[in-house]
Parts: sequence; structure tokens; C-alpha cells
Amino acid sequence: MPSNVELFLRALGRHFRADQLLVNKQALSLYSFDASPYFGQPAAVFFPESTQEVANFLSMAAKFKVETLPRGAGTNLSGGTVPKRGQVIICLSRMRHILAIDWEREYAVVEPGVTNLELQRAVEAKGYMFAPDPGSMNVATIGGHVAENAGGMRCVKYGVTRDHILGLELVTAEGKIFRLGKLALLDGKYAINSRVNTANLVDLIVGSEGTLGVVTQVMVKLLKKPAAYKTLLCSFNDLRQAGDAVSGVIKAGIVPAAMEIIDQKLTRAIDDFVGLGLPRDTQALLLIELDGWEADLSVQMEHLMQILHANGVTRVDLATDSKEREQIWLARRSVNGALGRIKPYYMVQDVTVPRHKVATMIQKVEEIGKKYGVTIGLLAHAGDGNLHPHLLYSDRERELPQIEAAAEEIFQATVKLEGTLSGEHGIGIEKRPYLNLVFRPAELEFLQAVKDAFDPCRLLNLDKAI
Amino acid sequence: MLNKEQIYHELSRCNKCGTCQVICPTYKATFHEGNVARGRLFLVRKYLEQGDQVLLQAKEVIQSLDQCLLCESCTKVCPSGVRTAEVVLYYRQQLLAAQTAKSKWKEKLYRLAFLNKAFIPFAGKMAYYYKNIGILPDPYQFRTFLSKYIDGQVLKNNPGTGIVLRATGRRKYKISFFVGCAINTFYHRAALASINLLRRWADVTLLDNYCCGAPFLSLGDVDSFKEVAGRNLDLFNREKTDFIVTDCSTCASVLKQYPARLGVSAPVLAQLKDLVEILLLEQEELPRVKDSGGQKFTFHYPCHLVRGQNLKEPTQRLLSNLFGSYYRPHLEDDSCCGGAGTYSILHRQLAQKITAAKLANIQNSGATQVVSSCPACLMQLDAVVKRLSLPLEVKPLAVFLQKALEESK
Ligand SMILES: Cc1cc2nc3c(=O)[nH]c(=O)nc-3n(C[C@H](O)[C@H](O)[C@H](O)COP(=O)(O)OP(=O)(O)OC[C@H]3O[C@@H](n4cnc5c(N)ncnc54)[C@H](O)[C@@H]3O)c2cc1C
Ligand code: SF4
Ligand code: SF4
Repeated sequence: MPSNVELFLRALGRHFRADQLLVNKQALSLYSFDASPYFGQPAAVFFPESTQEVANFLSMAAKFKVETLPRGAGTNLSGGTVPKRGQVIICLSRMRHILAIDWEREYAVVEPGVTNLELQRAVEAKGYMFAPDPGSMNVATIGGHVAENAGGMRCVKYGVTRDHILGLELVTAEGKIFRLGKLALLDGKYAINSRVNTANLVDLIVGSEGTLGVVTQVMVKLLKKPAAYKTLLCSFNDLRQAGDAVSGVIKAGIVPAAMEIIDQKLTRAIDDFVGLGLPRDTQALLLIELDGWEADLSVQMEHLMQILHANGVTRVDLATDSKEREQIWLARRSVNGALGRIKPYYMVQDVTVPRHKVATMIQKVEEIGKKYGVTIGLLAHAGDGNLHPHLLYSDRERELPQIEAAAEEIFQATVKLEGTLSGEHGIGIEKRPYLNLVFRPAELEFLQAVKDAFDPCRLLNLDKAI
Repeated sequence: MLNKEQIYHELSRCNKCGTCQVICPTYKATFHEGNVARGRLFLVRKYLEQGDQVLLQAKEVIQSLDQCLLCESCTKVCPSGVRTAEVVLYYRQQLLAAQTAKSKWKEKLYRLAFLNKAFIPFAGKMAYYYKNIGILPDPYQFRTFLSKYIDGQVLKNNPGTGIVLRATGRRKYKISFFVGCAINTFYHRAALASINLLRRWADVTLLDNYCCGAPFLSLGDVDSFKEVAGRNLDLFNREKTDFIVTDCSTCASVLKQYPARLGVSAPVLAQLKDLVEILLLEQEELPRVKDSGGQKFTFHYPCHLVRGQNLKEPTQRLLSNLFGSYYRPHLEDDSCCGGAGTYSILHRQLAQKITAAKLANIQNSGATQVVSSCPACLMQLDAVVKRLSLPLEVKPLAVFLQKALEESK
């Protein structure tokens, strides 16, 4: 007797074009991974081209009781798109249209497969931007941003993806289509629904990692780009001094767009890639960007320099033109990728602590690295307390136990400092075993009830965040 | 050629970040992981780690690696600098070695064609006659190009090899001109224009050269590549000129790679220059062109000019200096056009999609002419321009430049 999956695939074959469906074993292995260290072979991959196709697909999957999971660009770092249970993947990379841009009301409506870069390119000529800017912004999809509630360098000042989503279209695991939040259609055109003022379901979906439904349209806020920038690279002899400088800046009431700490190992690796002539001998690099009106910026700069000097800065380089600024940001965005230059594998963590505890947490991470003999490259969105220790290794079998032990201890240290496990990379497969460190049993049960409400048959992206 | 350990070193640096999706032309035409560096590396890695022969037989795997343009764009954006094109070449080499004699038709055809100087012009002529008596099958490339370009060959219609064409201006150099197969066959007028440009400063002699070997390389036929490269090197070593120049960026880039690929030292290659390099050297001697027929133009930077020879910025400066605001860069103007040698014929549909995307960027720049320095790019761009009936003119650099210089006299 053919299995449910086989029957389902046959039905799909009748419904959709051959090039929308991937079933060959070798080709499927290409979808067995994302940017995390996990693997799992999918049963098939389906490429929808419209909301209706997503809905048809999901209602058929529900009929045959076949498990599925959504995928965007596959750049998440926590295994969110890895089909550990042999699911069928819905890959949204071909739903890539920008459906509407309203310059008056400053929003855009996009399909989930549009990348952050494509959106920026569509709006920048008119002086606008979409504020979230994760390191992966050149390729990561807006659907993936929504599902992971992606943050970025600018989120100190501008907030995370959640703060920029006005509305969504969602297809549930049973194939029902809902419009949530302010996304509305008026006479066949997109419009802001200003009447909604009830429970905000959008916020529930943002960050749910593809466990509650498949996002098929996203209404995003557009912001005016700042008139001027000041981008500084500050060198310190000690990571903790950099951490203290960050607290100092925040205490002084200055709100930079970004404050990023990069340690020496990573500085060298990215300099090898970008060839920018970064200060390779510095122990810690603090990248600060101020943005706003030129006049305000000079005043802020004065205060900022005082704070930096008070915390023992050894050198400050200021980007002189927009090209230099872009290079600096390219360098920063290249960190994850450039790690391959140090060791081939890494596990990156995403722990977040209250901002004034960044320096303490850095110290903890360094100690843990020493204790387990693990090379740790440290990167931090220090401005919002989000640390990315990169635990590097060469030999999967031999070193993984130490890596995992070190990782667990970092999690525990975070919780002790009243922090949380994931700032922006999501729970996925990676952090699921640690959920009970941050949630009480009753809270976990409640999350399960939410899952049941959206996905009563339990078919969508199981064993992940929720 | 990289060996197994070196390939493994490349593979192990890929940490699956996905950044290569932003630039890989085959990905942007299909949005499929099998068509991006990350996926291709994964498949080759699987092959190396599992030593599984299935990976040399499965259609999907072969297709994924066959459809790589070898454009090296991914390496430029890859934070770990993984050289995917080398990895793909390695796989193709293994694939060719594992194939049975019967399925090696491509290798045989290439050997017949590119080791034999008379073959390509001959094939071109045949195709042309076929077309005239109306039984040439569909390949649209042949239909559009041959009718237009097979009007003679550099080597046949000129004094021939070995004869010195005197400088027309003050003679500074002696130059040997390397005639690429595609230039010889399809862009004979471009070669003549290049030679005329060079004669402003140099005595020019036509070389009786062999194919540069690019087709063998992309097929994974290392032996034939080495054979043809060896023949060319012997020839170069006998030349007593200041420079060996070619106006095909692909030839120039592949010729420059000889030492690295053959593992030999070849000091003579220091004299090897892309036409663009000579133009850069003599920039001051070129009059400022007031306008290019009043028309805006853009330049498509071939892979082999940008990544093969690192000549994008200088070329950009040259064009801006000469043409000012008539030169209009387009978005991603150094991304592969989809031509990639025989790729446009072997993977026609995919190639056309890639080219169409490129042409959309070109049109957005406001240019009405596209200029480039590689015949494969020119052919592919021209073919798709015609196919889509776009209001664009596609021109070889030398032809474009010569005309502009004449007009501004
Ligand atoms: C080099 C690098 C740097 C990074 N930097 C950052 C950073 O600075 N900040 C940050 O927050 N993250 C960062 N990330 C993580 C990741 O890129 C982001 O989370 C990104 O938003 C994921 O987008 P994606 O399209 O790749 O999603 P995918 O990886 O394909 O999917 C991610 C999750 O979203 C779900 N999903 C995808 N599309 C949909 C949809 N349409 N509907 C419902 N669920 C969906 C999937 O099931 C999965 O659980 C980085 C990753 C890399 C490799
Ligand atoms: S950009 Fe480089 S490291 Fe990242 S996935 Fe592509 S090849 Fe691998
Ligand atoms: S060489 Fe070009 S086609 Fe091949 S993987 Fe890299 S970017 Fe893609």
C-alpha cells in the first residue's frame, strides 16, 4: 500500500507543474540543510507561485495528514528549515513580487520570497528604507525575517522586524487564508485597515518560526533614510572595556543606530576578506554608527568621544565617505561567512543579556571558552545586549561534545544574568532542548495550546520553536 | 588544476551561509539550491566524502554542476573566498574520466573543433550554407549570428600570419595579435578594428595560434587543455615582439592562467595583454571622445575581464575619462550574461533567462548601446536582444571605439 506521503505526492503531481515539484533524492539533499549545523532529508520540495497555491497545497497536506514546513532563503542559523522528520518543504523563493508601494502612507506589500536587498533597492531611490538589516540581508527573505523576527545592526535605534510589520497574510496548516493586522484589500487594491484595534495577531505570528502558518504577504513600514551618518571604528585593548563603553553611551542618552563589538579573531578573518586595513592588533573593535541630522550629529559626536576616551579607547577611525561606510558595513556583515577562514565549522549563539551586563557576559564567555578549550570568536550587537559567541571547530565527531558542553554553560550563564537564549536567530532545533531554562512548565503548555489553535492536526514544522 | 586535497580545503571553508545567492546568475534565474554555489559545493563534498559513484551518474547532480557558468561571481561575495568554479571543474574532470567512451561525444567534438584550426571557420561556413538552403535546425544562435557575422575571417582575408602590418602612428611597440576562435569566426570586423587601433602605436603581426583552451577547461578535459596550451606556449616563446595582445577577454584570461594550471613557469606571458590593457597604457594618446553618436552606452564587464583579470576599475575609469556621462553603468554590470562559451547552446533556456535579466538592468540604465570585450558575451547579448526585439545595439569594444574616434576627429 502506498504511504500517505506517496499518495500526497501523486496528488500534487496532478495539481501542479512538474517544475514546481522536486522529488529526486539527490536534488532533495540540497534542501536537507540551512546555515545551521543540522541535516534532515525532505520527502519533497514544492515551489508555490501564489497564495492560492500555498492554500491548495496545505489543504491537500492536511487531507493526507502529511507534515510540511516553510522555507525562505535557508539562511537561518538554528535549523528552522531542516526537515528532521522528513517533511515536505514549501519553498517560497519563487514568490518574489513587490505587490504595492504606497509612498504617501509609507508602506509596501511584498510576497514572502522578496529579499531584504530587493526591497531596499525598490525604495531607496525615493529616499526610503526598510529598517531591519540582519547580516544576511542580501539574501534572506522578508518571510524569513517575519518568521524569525530578525534583528540587525540598526535595531538599537530602530527595533527588530516586529516593529516594522503592519500586517500579514497567513495560510494556516489547514489551508485557510487570513489577513491579519492592517493589511486590507479595497477595490482590488492594497490599503491600510485603520479599524483594527483588537488583539494583535500579527505580533503572535512574527517570531513563530513557521510553526503557526505560512506567511504569503507582508505589509512593511517604510522609513525615511537618515540625512547623515557618522560611522566610527573604535579600538580597545580589552573586550570588557568595549562593553563598558557601550553601557556608557547608553547611560548618556545617546542612541546610536548601531553598536557592534567584534573581537580580534573575527576582525582578522574579515579583514582577510574585505582588505579594508582594519586595526588587526586591537583586542576589541567597537563599531558605532550615529545617524540623523548633520547638526545633531556633531553634538552627539563630542559626547561620544568623551565617553570613548573615558573607557580607554586606543584609536578611533571615522569613515570619510559613503564608500568607506559601505565597506565597513560589508566587513561587519561578512563575519559569519568569513569564519570559514579560521575553522570550517561553527555553532553560533544568540544569547541576550540586559545591556549593562554585556561586559560581565563577555567575561563569562571568555572563561567558558578557556575552561573547555574551545576557540570562541565573539561578535555582539552590544547596543541591545545581544551576543553572538561563535564556537569554532574543525572535527565534527571529536570536538562536538566540548562545543555542546560549552554552549550549555553559556546558556546557563545567560539565564543567571537574567538574559534569554535567543535575541534574533530563533529557537529552531538548536535551542529547543533548552526551552525549559527560560519558560515555566505552565508557559510551555500555553504555547502548545496556541499551536493547537493554529495547527490542530499538528502538521506544520513540528519539534521546532513551538 | 587543484588536486583532491586542495579541493577539499575549498569545500571545507563553505559554512553554508547562503550569501552566494545574491549574485549567482543561475540561482537568480531559478531560485533553486541546485543552481547556487552553496548547493554545488554540497554535492561535490558529498561525492568526495562518500565516494559514491551515484553522484557521477545522477542526472540532477550532473545538471547542477553542468549548469555552473564558472563565472566566479560567488567567490567575490563569499566571505570565505571559496573558489566554487575550481571545485566544479574538478567534478567535471572526474565525470569525464568516469564516462564510457560512448558518452564522450562532447570531448571528441571539442577535440576535433578546438585542436584543429580550420574546423571552426569550416563549421561556421557550413552552418551558413545550410541556413541559406533552409535546412538548419532551430538553434537560434546560429540563425541570428551566422547570417550576420560569417562574412570572412581575419586570417583568410588579411595578408595572413607572419606579415607585419606597419604602425599608422608613431611606432612604440611591436605587437603579436592573438586571434581567438570566436573572434575569428564571428567577429572578424572587431578583430580588424582592434588591429587598426593597435596600429596607432605598433607594428602588428597576426599570430598563427591555437584555441586558448577555454572550451576544454570548462568541459573538464584537462589533457586536451594542456596539449593546446603547450602548443600556444611554444608559439609565444618564438615571438620576438613587445606584447602579445588579444581582443577577447576570455582568451586573455585563460592564457594568463597557463602557468598556474600547467604548473610551469612561463615568463613570456608577462607580455600577454588584453586589448583593454594596451588602451589603458595609451590612454593619454586617445583623443577625448566628445560624444558617442549622441547616444548613451553601457559596458558589460565580462567575467574574464573582471574576475579573470581584475580589470574592472581601470576599464571603468577609461570609459568615464573618454566618454564622460555618455557612459552609463548598469546595475550588476559585472554579472555573467549567461553566454559562457558553449553554455548558451547547451543550456539554452537557462542562459536566455539569465541574459534577459541582464538586459533588463541594461535598459534601466537608459543606454541604447551595449559594448563588451568578449565574443561569447556579445553573441549571447545580441541573440537575446533580437529574440526579445529590444531597442538595443550590441557592439564589440574595438568597433565601438574606432567609430567613436573617427566621429570625433
Ligand atoms: C551570515 C548570516 C548573518 C545573519 N545575521 C543575522 C542578523 O544579524 N540578525 C538576525 O536576526 N538573523 C541573522 N541571520 C539569520 C537569518 O538570516 C535570519 O533569521 C533571516 O531572517 C532568515 O531568513 P530566510 O529567508 O533565510 O529564512 P529561512 O532560513 O528559510 O527560514 C527561517 C524560518 O522561517 C520560517 N519561514 C520562512 N519563510 C516563511 C514564511 N513565508 N512563512 C512562515 N514561515 C517561514 C522557516 O520555517 C524557518 O523556521 C544571519 C544568518 C547568516 C547566515
Ligand atoms: S557564500 Fe561562500 S561560504 Fe557562504 S554558502 Fe556560498 S560558497 Fe558557502
Ligand atoms: S561560478 Fe557563477 S554560476 Fe557557478 S556557482 Fe559561482 S556564481 Fe554561480
